[in-house]
Amino acid sequence: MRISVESLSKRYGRVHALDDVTLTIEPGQILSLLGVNGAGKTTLLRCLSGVVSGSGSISYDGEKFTRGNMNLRRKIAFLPDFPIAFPHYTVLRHIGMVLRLYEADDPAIEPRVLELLRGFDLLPLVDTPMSKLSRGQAYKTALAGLLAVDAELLLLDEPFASGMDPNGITFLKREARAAASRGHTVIYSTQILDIAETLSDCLLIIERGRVRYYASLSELQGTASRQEGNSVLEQLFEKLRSIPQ
Amino acid sequence: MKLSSPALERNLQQHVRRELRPSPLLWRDYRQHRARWWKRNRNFRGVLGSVYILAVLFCLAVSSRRSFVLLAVVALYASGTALLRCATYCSRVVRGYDRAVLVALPVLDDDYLRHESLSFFRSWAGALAVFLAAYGIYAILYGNLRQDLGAVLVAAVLQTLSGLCIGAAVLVNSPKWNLASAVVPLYGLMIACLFLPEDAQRFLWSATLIMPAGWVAHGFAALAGNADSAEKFWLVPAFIVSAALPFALRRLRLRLVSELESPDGAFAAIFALDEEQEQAPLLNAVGSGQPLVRGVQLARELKGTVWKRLGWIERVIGVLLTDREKVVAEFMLSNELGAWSKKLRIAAVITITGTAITFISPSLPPWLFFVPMLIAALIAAPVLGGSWPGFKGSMAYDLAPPSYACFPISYGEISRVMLKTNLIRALTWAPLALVYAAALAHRSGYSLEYGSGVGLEIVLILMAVQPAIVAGHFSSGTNDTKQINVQVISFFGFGLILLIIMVTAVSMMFIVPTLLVQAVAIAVVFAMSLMGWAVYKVLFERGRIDLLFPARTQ
Repeated sequence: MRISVESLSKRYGRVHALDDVTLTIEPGQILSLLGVNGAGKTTLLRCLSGVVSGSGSISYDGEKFTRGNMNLRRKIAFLPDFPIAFPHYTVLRHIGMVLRLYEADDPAIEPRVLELLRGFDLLPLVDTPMSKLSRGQAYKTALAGLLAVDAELLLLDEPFASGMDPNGITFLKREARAAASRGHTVIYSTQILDIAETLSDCLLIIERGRVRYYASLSELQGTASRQEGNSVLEQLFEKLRSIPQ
Repeated sequence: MKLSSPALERNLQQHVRRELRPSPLLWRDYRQHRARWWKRNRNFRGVLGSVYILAVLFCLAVSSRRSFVLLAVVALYASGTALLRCATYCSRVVRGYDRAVLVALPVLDDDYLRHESLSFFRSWAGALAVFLAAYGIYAILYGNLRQDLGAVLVAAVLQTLSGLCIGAAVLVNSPKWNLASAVVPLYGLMIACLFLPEDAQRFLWSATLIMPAGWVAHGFAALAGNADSAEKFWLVPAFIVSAALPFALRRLRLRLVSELESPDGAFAAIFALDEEQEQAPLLNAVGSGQPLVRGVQLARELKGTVWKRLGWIERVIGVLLTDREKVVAEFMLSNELGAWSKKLRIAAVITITGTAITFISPSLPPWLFFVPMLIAALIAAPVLGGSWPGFKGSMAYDLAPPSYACFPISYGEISRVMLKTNLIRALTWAPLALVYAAALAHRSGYSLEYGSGVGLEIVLILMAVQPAIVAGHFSSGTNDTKQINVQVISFFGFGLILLIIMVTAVSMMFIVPTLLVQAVAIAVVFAMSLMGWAVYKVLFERGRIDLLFPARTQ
């Protein structure tokens, strides 16, 4: 799914959360969204998912995206940093609800759901209410539901600061790579540069609602000089910090 | 829009169980975490509770042996429930938990609205059942059910439809109106109606005619042969209101759709907290003088001399607290700081009004005179220890710690702050208690001095039990009643003994009202309360209990 964002701006009162963002994201990539706290990463993910709408336009494969466009919305899966679920729903009921809403509750999906439950170590929790889960377990449940849908665009807000255990994180990385190899796009925000550097194909750095840096990781690695002790991304952040926007 | 996929869920459950069963470890995990069926049916428990309360009210109305009382209760309940249900529906649709869950999923606003509307109409089916039961009971008791069956059906249906229509119309035309201000008096009158003298009940019954629910009730009374037959014409305007229901619902729907479509309305409300957190550094960067997070604002404002700028009770307490204790108080009170003086003023107004009514009013049930005193005490006196938000936790999954547990604040520090504060608040409330107690004594045929004495005893008891109340506040943020170990069992056993001694001492104060007995009893109550606080401190500081309690997930 090719994503085109044209002059996207979003204001909360007097604050410009996003300011004239324009970019194109090619399909089959894992894009890491970086930036300081309050830079606008979450707002960009929310705009891409249709949760909030700003001025400007977002197109998926050339088709203009609006919140009411259900065909497109069924191709997008968005998981906020704090997954919201009905507390009395069990893990299975939650996944069932997500599949139902994505019109993916076909019996053929059962093996895939079981695979995800197994991968996230959720099997013993299938009949546990969401309110009884830890934050990491709740995040894994929400993630399992959305991965089962197999959406063309996966938007994840801070998945690596979600309380998931190492197994869950490893499984998510594997699933993200598999999705990208199928031509799907994964966009996630993070503050952990090591993960961004090993998992991503592309980097998007946002600062005060504007795109500060957008390039592929290989491009960045090609231009950066190797300094001892500092990763390529750490060097980039230090460089950006020294140059005012 | 269906929110579940039962067949798929059932199949998956069977697959999972088959896969887990061969492994004893995983199977045990599964069985430990599985929810019990009664925990899954929370709505059922809520409905049972509401039906129970309504049943009690209707029984009381029936026992009054005045036919119109039951109908007045029904009319007041119908008006209150119409406003409450419609207001709840609107706020749930726009800012509710369902919206927060479904907003990130591919659901059309129309489908979402239809789903919410269906559950709304289902809840009105419950109201219809209540009306049917109420009018049916009336027909059995004061008429002939077989003859009045048609009237029961008509009245219940009209009551439901007109209630829906009025609720929707109010919300469309006055969306900003605080409906709680109307609902609470209606429910209050519904309960008060049961205990009022007959004249007042008749007046209230007539007054119900200002509401469509009253038109239906009066019309039904006439149809059942218990009122002037001309009153049955009240059903005509009720029918007209009911006929306008589709129009009112369409208007309400349009209003909700426009709110849902507003990009910065509903979404901003649902994600308000996140946005505030995200924007805070930006706001500081652009030089806004108004930080968004209330706690931050308070922390900034409460430096140095701020206690001197608060009300007079806060100033007195500020003198008693050390600098460190002031910091602890500011943290534990959050946005409640500064409310004590205002609360005392409100309590003073209630006390003066209540005292005046106690002296001059005609015959009313005696318990009614105690109500203003109770309300004033709950507002101004630390009856339950006061409101301390620092003991509460934040929204989270599973178990959450109380806020203070995440900071280096000790049991002793919090206790000292609470005790100093609550003792001053009890003392400032004391004159009100003495005045009102004297008035109540006068009303009951005792001397004013006797009443003041009882008032003083109440104030002293309240002050003496404060250490135990402080320990209770700590207990509310722990799992001490669930984490059973030898120390906890011993503590509760010991606590029970202390409680029995305290109750005995308080009883002795009133049974043997001599100065010596009263002084000793107060000393005993204080000693037991202090002992309970101290023993809980030992448990607390030695880590015998966890500072965790079930999280607020909605």
